[in-house]
Amino acid sequence: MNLDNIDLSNAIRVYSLSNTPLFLIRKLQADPLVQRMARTASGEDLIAALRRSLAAQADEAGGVRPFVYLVALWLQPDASRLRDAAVAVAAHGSWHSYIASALVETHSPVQVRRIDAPGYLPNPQSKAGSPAANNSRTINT
Amino acid sequence: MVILLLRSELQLHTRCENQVENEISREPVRAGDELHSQDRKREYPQATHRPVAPSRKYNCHGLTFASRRTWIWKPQEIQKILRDDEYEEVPVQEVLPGDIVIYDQQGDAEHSGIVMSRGPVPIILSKWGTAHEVVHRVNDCPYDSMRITYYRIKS
Repeated sequence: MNLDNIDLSNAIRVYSLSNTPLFLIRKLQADPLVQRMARTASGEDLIAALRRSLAAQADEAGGVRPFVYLVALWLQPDASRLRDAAVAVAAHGSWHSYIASALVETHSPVQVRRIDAPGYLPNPQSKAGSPAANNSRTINT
Repeated sequence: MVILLLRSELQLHTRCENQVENEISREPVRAGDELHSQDRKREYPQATHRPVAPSRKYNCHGLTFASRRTWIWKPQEIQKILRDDEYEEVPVQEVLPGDIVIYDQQGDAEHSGIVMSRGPVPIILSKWGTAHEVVHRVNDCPYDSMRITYYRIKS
């Protein structure tokens, strides 16, 4: 996933409607693109993209782009990357520091656990009258 | 000659003389802001879209509580205003023009507006983020209208 070339149209729309930073956070947390970014991109890549976005000239998407990466980091289980990101954005504006603090405070590690589906019994017992009982056949000679 | 910073905080007090944190941005609107406003007009054709340009100087709370002068965005500041200015909740069936409405999500006042008229569905004047001002039915806007509360100033 090329983090510098993603479709931010929904994020830009949400940002333009945001009266408060918490509204922006809630909407980005529910954005499928941000969720996919969190699943497919590494924390290192997200932080690198965040730093590039902070250094870049603000274009149409420039305003919301750092928040997209921050929320993607919040969706990942490793809180240390999010804390690094919070330090990086702190001096860039009141919303940046507020959102970063809110995300760090509300982060909880997500555990992914694989649960195997129940298997079949190796030797099912059959009783008279059950379908399995009909599997045996007596041949008279 | 007064030199104004691109971003600053206005002196804005509640009736109890507590400062309300706010931030006015005098930066010019971005190229996309006008386009977003046009998009909202297409998305909400039933609403009346006031001919006010997009602005980062004030938001919905700035319209509702600060005469369109600044942007108020911290949840606790809205609570401070409601408390210090003695707003009281009003049941929806008793809502009158001049009351205000708060759209709340998990303690965050994500939107607010001023009631313009009553009826089966109250009509609200509000501002949508950086976009323009809109007169709309209380439930015909991009904000969650499932948890809305009406308030009236007591005296």
